[in-house]
Amino acid sequence: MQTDNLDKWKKELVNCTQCGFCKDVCPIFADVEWDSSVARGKMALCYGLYSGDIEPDESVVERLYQCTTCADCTRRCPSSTDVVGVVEAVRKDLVASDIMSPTHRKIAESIATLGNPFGEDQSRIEIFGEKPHKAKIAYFTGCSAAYRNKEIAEAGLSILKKLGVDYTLLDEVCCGSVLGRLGFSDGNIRRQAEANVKAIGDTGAEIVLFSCAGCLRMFRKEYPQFMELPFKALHFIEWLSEQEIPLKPYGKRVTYHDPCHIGRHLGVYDAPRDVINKIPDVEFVEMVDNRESARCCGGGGGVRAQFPEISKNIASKRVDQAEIADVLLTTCPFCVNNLALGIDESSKLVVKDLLELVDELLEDG
Amino acid sequence: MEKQIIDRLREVVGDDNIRTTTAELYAYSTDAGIHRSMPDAVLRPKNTEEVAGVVKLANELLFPVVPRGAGTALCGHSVPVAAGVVMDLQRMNAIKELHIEDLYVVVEPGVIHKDLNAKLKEYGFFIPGPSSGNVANIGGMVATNASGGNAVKYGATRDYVLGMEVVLPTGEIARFGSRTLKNSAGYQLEKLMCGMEGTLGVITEVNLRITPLPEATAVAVAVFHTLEDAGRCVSNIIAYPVIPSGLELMSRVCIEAVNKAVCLGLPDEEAILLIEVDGSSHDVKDQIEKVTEICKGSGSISVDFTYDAERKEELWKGRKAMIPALSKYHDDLVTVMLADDMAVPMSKVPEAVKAFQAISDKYDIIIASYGHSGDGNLHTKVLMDPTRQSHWDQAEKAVSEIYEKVMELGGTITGEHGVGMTKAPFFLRERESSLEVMKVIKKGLDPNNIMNPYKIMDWEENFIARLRYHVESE
Repeated sequence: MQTDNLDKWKKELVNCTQCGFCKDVCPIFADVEWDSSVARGKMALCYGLYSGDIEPDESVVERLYQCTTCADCTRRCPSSTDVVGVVEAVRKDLVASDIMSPTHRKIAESIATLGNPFGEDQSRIEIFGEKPHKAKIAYFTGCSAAYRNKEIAEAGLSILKKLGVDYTLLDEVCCGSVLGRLGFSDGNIRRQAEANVKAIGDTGAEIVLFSCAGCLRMFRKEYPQFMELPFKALHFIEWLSEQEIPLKPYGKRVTYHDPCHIGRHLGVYDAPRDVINKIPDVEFVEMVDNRESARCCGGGGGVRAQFPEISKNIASKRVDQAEIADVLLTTCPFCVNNLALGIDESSKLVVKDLLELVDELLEDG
Repeated sequence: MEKQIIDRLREVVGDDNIRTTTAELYAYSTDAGIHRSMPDAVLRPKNTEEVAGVVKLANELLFPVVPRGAGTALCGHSVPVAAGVVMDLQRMNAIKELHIEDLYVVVEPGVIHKDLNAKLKEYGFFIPGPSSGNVANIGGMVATNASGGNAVKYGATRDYVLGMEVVLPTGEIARFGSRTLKNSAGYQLEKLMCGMEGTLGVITEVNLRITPLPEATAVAVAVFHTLEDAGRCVSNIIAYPVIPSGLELMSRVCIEAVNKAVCLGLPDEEAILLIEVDGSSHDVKDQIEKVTEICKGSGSISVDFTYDAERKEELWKGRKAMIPALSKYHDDLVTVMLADDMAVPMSKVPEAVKAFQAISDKYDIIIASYGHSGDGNLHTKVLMDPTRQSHWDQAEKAVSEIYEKVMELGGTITGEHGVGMTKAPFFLRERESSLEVMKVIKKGLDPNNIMNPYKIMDWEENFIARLRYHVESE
């Protein structure tokens, strides 16, 4: 296989001392238990491929795709090794060497032809029935909230309407996050970035709101590598935390799950808590692992598509921590979806996006 | 390894618990040290009978067995140098018995130190351990006689081992030691097993003494103009006597690295001591007064104790930030596990640190020294590019001189990590007079040399050998 991408990560490959401290936090290892599955194991396998010690056979490729890219390992790593960077680099080399699962190939084809990873042929304009127009604020719904968890995008739209905001939807395509996580080339991601930045440019928006953690991460961390963005990318919740929002009381106990891609990857921890604290009568409790040390929902990094059982088991462990509350809130449709799968039938816990709760409690007009 | 042997192993541990795939063999070919060697298979037994079944088979068919816990050993202890099977004991993770009123517990080897302490905390007790305690397994801690920063007050793992069950190299299941705090019954074989690094059998159950959690702790940073002042202060504290629960030294390279990487604003001085005292509230108050007085009398520029949890965390943050800071010290260099845990008599710590710095300068290689100076235990981090032969050449010379100095000062080449492969050549010199006895014990218990062969006194190569890095000559 080619190792052009891994070659750029030599320092990180030898920076990992194989100390194993990541075993304490890696959500995949907690489920799979073999040492090749933990972050350190994946770093070893990447070094093996980089150095030519091993070939990318089925066992190696399987392990390299068993990473949710949650980055909790880097937080715990005494040497701050960028494991996610290395894992994504090796995935790029695998894809460039035409080593990829049929599931991932199908996802990439769907994004290239239909603009979304789900094989859906309706555009965002058709789904929401709103055409893009000139406006100061644009709402980038993301694929999950458009095609799978539409209630979240609808909550976002409803909030904007209730607040009387002059907003526009976008003729958007997949942000490319899934392509990046699975190892598709920068060229593929740039194609998505160019289409989206043009769509935003056409509306003249100065602020773009996101309800998906993965999409926001792309706009904040990856798109700027390709081009300058003439607008500000904010999570919907970041924007809401700075607005006057008249909310009805909510007499329930709630907790909050930090999505990895806006938490550890972007450092957004206060805004969602600020919004929750705007709700009268709400009782907010933190899970044992929160903010920087929040556990992953198990859905990211392509794990859910390829290893649904592992994904579900990780979600169950996170949901167990949330049983201290009536409602588990988060700020990413992908997390909502995955956490919901982890809820035991006997549990009364409800998972919802914070946008849904805000919409539910927001006084009209 | 022949398919027939793999099939017989499969019968012992079950299909789900044996792997011969590239991913597993490669991941288990190294530990947290610098070496690599591929096993033929990786096994995950669930109980003593399965362990004994595997070892019996190994003794009959003559293949090596390398026991492994969390794989956090630092000197190649669990690297299968002669191939064979790596026996991953992480599934044997039951806390089997808690006897708080008798001050002991019975645990399986795969219990994680952190998990055991979380359980013991419910009763107000704990067992001290290494800084890798969040992941390290009890079996590995016993097999390497591991310890950490609080060893000056609480001792090492060996001090907590009362008894154990061991699968001997011939496959018999033996019980050593007792369930009592005192025991004068003949040879203390349970203590012999501490530090045997998997060469004399597989530990399958351990009886461990427990100790009460302190009621209060307080932490201080003491700053010194010179390393000698800091060293004298350590000696003065211990000789007073005050036995702190932590006494960490940071020298200039470490201070600079931390300040450069994380802007903690540590004082720009030659040495810092981080001092922790614990005990009853009354004891802690008393110790704070004494230590403050001793620090001032030993030339400390400042010393300030705090009980405040947040402030204590902040002070430890500087110490904890040091290793990541060192890894970011230079764009092309990383920390490599070499000469990592020497111990010298406490009064010799400043002399040792000065000597290490001179050696570092002589070979133009960055070596950061820090450590648990309260028990004379010094860590060094060698910063190098482990893919360059010239760096290994310099490191080899520097590390050899460091070990020479340690032995000259009456110290030991390993205070808490063990020998494995990386320290073996120097161990052979340090313990020259013990080697024949050790070899007789090994031969007697393991006549076919199947248990973790070629380690400790049986390692025959240089310490920089079987590297897990691909090294380029320049």
